[in-house]
Amino acid sequence: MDFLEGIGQFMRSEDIEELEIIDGNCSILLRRSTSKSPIGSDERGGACQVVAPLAGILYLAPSGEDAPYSSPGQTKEEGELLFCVEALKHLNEVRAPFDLVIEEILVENLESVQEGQVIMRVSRKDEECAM
Amino acid sequence: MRYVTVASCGSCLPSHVLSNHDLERFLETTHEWIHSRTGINERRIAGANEDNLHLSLEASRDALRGSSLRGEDIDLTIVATTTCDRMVPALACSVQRELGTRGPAFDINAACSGFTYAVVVALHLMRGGIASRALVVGTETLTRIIDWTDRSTCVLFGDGAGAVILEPCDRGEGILSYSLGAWGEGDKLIFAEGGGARMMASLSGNLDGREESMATYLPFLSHAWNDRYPYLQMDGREVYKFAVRKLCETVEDLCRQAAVNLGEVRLIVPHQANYRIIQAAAQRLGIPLECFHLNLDRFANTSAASIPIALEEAVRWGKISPGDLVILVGFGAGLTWGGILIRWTGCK
Ligand SMILES: CC(C)(COP(=O)(O)OP(=O)(O)OC[C@H]1O[C@@H](n2cnc3c(N)ncnc32)[C@H](O)[C@@H]1OP(=O)(O)O)[C@@H](O)C(=O)NCCC(=O)NCCS
Repeated sequence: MDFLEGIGQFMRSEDIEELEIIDGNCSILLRRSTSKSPIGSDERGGACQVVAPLAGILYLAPSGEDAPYSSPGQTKEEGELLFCVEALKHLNEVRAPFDLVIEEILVENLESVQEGQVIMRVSRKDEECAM
Repeated sequence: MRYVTVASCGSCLPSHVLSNHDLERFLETTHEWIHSRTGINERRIAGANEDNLHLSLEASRDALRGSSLRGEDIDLTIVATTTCDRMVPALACSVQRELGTRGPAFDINAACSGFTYAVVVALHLMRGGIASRALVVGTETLTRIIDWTDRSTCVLFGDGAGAVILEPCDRGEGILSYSLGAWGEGDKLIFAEGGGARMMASLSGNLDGREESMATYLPFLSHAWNDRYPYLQMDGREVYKFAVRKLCETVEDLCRQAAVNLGEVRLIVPHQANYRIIQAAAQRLGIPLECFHLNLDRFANTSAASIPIALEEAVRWGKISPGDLVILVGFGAGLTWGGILIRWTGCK
């Protein structure tokens, strides 16, 4: 929490618009709300986006018949599975870095995704993204 | 997750050249027929002492020279071949003996897709921590299993070997995706009985009047297939259609898996079966023929060896640079198919 606030401050002071943090399979893309940015028009600051940690095929559900890992409006606790990206037949799990609510899923199941591509827009459960 | 790349390539082609005009001397065929149907002008024929072991060793040494590695630095040896010198043991073990490589050594037979299969097996053994550096060889002496009186098959094939050394690399580089498959229903479309166990079984040698009792206790001996036609047989038309379709599907699948546009791919190194197969695939994929590296005009179809031979040549000719996306794609007897998409990291 403090960590993210610190980063937000750093991004403002250095005028950095976008910053991606990768920790193992988890990665968070922080984007400051500027007039140029179509996302995060919220008064209080920005939006959090969860990005693909590597290029591959997006899995929003284990298979066609199974319930999806995530759906818009759903609340996820820190560490819960959000989606997987398959590369070289290996499913790379992407988990919630903190308690969050899924606002929007931007990519269809089983589509090819680029490394760093925004997969979902989320907001922190307790407050807005610290920026 | 570990990534794996091609660190070095090597090849070996026998020096004896057999041209289409040479074939006209003993076959009812013409250079024009062969060239217009296949794109082949000539092929290499292994000499009496150039068995698969010889070709594999020369190709492997070429790859080792390019990498400044030594045999003992390699801890996995895989040979892809359909024309193994002998049934037992695997050729890879003899390669290991000569080069001093360590770790597991075994052969893979997936016909003309064999090299791609072998690279994928090596990739997973490396990712699983079972091996750290692999030597993968594709080698063939197809001229030994074709009927030199059958003009519909013997004009198509040649001999040779290619080898690569696989090493770990950074995330997002090296092999980015692969696709393997087989359609067993097609096992009758290309086959050769020769050298198989059921053809070898026979009552021969000095039996000294034991024929009857041996036939009683070893009944399979009287049902041996040793009168079967041993050489390669093929339904060219069916294989042709399959090859074009699978080549295209595999290339598209590789791109989809790695989230890459086909337009970004610098070079496709296909199995060198037939110019018209590649031409039809290029058309169907909507890409220029120049996207493919072709050498079948000079070396014909060398089955499992054709991709590593062509890859080595493309690298040597400067057609691939670090950062380029390269596709290797094979198809053949089985029927099998296999493809690999690589972000090139540099090579000798
Ligand atoms: C083999 C291949 C070149 C034959 O071409 P095709 O147009 O299908 O030719 P066909 O087999 O129908 O044969 C046409 C005629 O040419 C003749 N012919 C075959 N080989 C010949 C040769 N080397 N020279 C002259 N005539 C030949 C045939 O006898 C046939 O004559 P017919 O009509 O009087 O019976 C073609 O089918 C092919 O390339 N297939 C894919 C094979 C391949 O690459 N396999 C390996 C995949 S790993």
